Amino acid sequence: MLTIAVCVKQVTDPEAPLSLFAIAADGRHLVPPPGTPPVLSTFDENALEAALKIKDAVGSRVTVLSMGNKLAKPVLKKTLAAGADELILLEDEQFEDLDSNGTAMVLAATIDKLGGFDIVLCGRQAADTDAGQVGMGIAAKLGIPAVTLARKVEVTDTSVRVERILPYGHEVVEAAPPVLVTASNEIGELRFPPVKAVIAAQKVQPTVWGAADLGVDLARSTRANLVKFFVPARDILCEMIGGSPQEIANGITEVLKTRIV
Amino acid sequence: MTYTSSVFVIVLMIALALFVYVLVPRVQYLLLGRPEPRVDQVVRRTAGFLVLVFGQKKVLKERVGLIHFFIFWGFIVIAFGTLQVVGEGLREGFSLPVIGDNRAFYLLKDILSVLVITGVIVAAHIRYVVRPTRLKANLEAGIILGLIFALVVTEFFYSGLSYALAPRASHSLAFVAVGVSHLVGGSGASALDAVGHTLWWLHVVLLLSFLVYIPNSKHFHLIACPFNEWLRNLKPRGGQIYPVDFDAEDAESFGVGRVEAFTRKQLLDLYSCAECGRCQDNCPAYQSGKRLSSKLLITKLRDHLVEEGPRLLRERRAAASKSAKASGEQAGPLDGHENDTRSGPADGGAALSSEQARPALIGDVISLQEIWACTTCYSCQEQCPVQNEHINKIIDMRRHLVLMEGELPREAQLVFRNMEVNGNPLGESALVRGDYLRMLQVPTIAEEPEADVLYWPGCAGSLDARNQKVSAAFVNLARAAGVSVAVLGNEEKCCGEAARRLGNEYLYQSLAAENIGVLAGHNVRKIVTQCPHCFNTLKNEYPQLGAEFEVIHHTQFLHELASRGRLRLDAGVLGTAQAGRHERAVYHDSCYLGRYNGVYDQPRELLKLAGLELMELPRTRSKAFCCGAGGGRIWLEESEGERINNVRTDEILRAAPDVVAVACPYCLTMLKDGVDDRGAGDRVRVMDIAEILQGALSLSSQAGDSKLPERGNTTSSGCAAEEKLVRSPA
Ligand code: SF4
Ligand code: SF4
Repeated sequence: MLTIAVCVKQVTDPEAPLSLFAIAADGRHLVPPPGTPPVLSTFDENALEAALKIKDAVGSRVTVLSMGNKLAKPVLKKTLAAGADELILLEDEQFEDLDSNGTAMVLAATIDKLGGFDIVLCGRQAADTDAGQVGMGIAAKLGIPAVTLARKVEVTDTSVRVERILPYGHEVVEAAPPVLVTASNEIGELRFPPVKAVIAAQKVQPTVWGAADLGVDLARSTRANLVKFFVPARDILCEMIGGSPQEIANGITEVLKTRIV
Repeated sequence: MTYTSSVFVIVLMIALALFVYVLVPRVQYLLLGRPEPRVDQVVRRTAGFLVLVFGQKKVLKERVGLIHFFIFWGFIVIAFGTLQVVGEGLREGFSLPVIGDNRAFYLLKDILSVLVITGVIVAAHIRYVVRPTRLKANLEAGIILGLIFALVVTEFFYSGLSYALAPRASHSLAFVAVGVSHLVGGSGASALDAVGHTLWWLHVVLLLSFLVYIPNSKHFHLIACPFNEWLRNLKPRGGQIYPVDFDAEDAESFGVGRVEAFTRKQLLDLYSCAECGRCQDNCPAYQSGKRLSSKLLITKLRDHLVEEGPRLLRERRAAASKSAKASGEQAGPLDGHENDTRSGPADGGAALSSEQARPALIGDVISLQEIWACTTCYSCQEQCPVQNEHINKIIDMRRHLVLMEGELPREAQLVFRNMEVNGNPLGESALVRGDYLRMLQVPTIAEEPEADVLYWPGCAGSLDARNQKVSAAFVNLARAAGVSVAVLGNEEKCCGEAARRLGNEYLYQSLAAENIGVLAGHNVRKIVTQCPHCFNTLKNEYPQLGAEFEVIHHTQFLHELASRGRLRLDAGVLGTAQAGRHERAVYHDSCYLGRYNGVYDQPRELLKLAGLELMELPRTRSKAFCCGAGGGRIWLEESEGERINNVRTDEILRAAPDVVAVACPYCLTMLKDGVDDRGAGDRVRVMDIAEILQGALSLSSQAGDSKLPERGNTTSSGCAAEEKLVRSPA
């Protein structure tokens, strides 16, 4: 049977108002306001939906992979409710704040350990960092082709057929499996799982693997180093120009000429 | 006149056998449903039963109900008369105790008989000549009316003939019988005897045909309805929705996806329907041209049950014998039956194949459009003379779609997601929920545990720009009255009402549990809500989950303050009143305030206190026409037929008011939309009662609110620039 892996990321609700976020004392972390719910990154939901559409069409086994530290299991279990067959959580303290390269390493190692998949699906980019690196990274590490920005993924007898978004239309790309595809929102929103499935999914115990289980050595990987988080300073200078309309007009012209233009 | 009683007995036996033959399967179909314990509060049930059945209380809510009243009572009295007639025919000198020789009885019987005849003629006229849409001009109704007519007429002539043959003192006041006897007086005794004999038989045969015809027709309500009245819902109207027990061991099927998953009481409703069409007459969905009709909902389900009944019975028997065989002797047949009642037909291949051939309850019998069109406005149940409960059926089917199939309108998915992630249907962050009330400098209950009341602005009052103004008005009024108010702030979440009505009981229960926990944590005793939907849910539904607090709506609360003299109101300061003329207002009843909770008067009295001339709409109070937003409908598209809010708006605009007063954020949004849609936004203002009262606050009492932000003060700006509660969440 066709096998599909979907990599999903848990993020802080992107709808949370930006003004309530704070920068941690070390200047290197963003602290979400307390009570911000964790959610699945939206493009990853699209990737899962793409996998489920393939499952509906030709049948397949869908495995969801998610990496992080202190993952919110109820949120990730929703992937099972929606129709995924298996959920594998990659949890380790070392996985905290991992950069794109490290994340791709962990996910690629997991995919290897599971014996590989015909299709690996990722979201086009994460809703928090918007980096869009991990999918390509996994493909590079696994040595398989990658097709990005899919708006439609179909499986034929011999190949995976992807409609790929271009700035003014789309192109159709075919690749023989195994292949990695990154999904865009045009693929469609993740289906609403029947609540019965949500309840059933909450009872499932997902497989949890740490760095040791995967045999990845993160210490040896290159690592992006975040130097500083800051809110750009903005100055607003306000000067009142008074007088008659004529004087005001002159005053404005003067300012524009001398200081702006 | 003596007739061969043996022939009579044979005929009677045949009729009774036929009656039982038709009746028994119907009862068996009923028992296919899940059991629902409703035998409690016997005294209360019986008292109401007497009023409803013998007093015909709900039937008489409409004037045409008088026809039914007379036919009903006429029939009872005539039945005794018939007993007497049959008895006489069988044995000379037969006389029923008390009434057999009672002159008053025969007088009463003749009076009622005349009324019945008149009633039948009027009913036939209405049904076949006037032809209102709510009634079907079908053969069945004609047969019944004809039978009743013939029964009474044969009895008239039989009694008249008997009187002509042997005048009896007991019949001397029975004016019809006496009149008939005069008519036929000249005929010979033997001829009279022969005709009388024939009439007697005709009467008997008609009566027995009626008996046999009943179970197969809508007149089954004659039998089912008394039970239905006795078993009626005694819970608060607003708490009638069945809770789902998600933790139950055998919880694997939620909602109703096939007819036998309804409870027996729900199935009894189907048999009880008299097809009077009263529910449909005021059903906003039907009246705005949608496929849903509350009446057809019931009759289609009934026809489906009767059609599917035989097959379901066969399947159930097969499954029961299979499970009895499988489990050997230890499971009694009853156990097998009961088990099966919950889980439906066995999963065997045979059951599966017949399953596929069955018309699907959802889809074939009741369409998705119908299921999602209901606003849960309660009008059908309010009008229904036999106490049918339509809304639970709709919600049970929605539950099946949401909980089991995951098949629901896209907009509903989004709303659920918003409620789940953000705790409100609008999709605003949960972290800004308390911002507006904080801006009004209302403390949280954590800051002010001793506050007089906890104000529950709800999602709209917290987050929707237009309804925030209502919150501000309330806060102003409370301050003017010297009442200290606190809120939950960000700890408040959506009450879950819309989720529940859209079938997502799971989401509702989780939101409710969180809110109840928070409220209990702050030891809250008294809550005032802005929204009638929150009001109903907190008051009538949260107790199902163990909550206990006093909940009132802000109109009740403000009325209380006003009647205790704590709100000083200056009449007529709304600004547009012309000299010497009061501004004219109509009050649009909110379903969840009025029909569900009986709050009709306080809002009206408040409007009068504010110096407005109150006019009533044609459809008002318990017959008020829904704004279209309830039942979670506010979050769904409305593309079928006319928009319900526009239908209501047209009715309102015909009354030409200056102000449309509402007491609900949904109504406010819907009617404001409607008024704008009809291009009347500059003439007619739609305002919450709290805003109107705020405008009427005498200046001396307004002084205290100077610290309120400008935005909270709505009266001067009216409603010109409000932003609307977005109907489809962003
Ligand atoms: S609750 Fe209202 S909308 Fe729903 S069926 Fe009854 S009358 Fe119609
Ligand atoms: S459900 Fe009630 S109101 Fe509606 S047609 Fe039947 S009896 Fe009449």
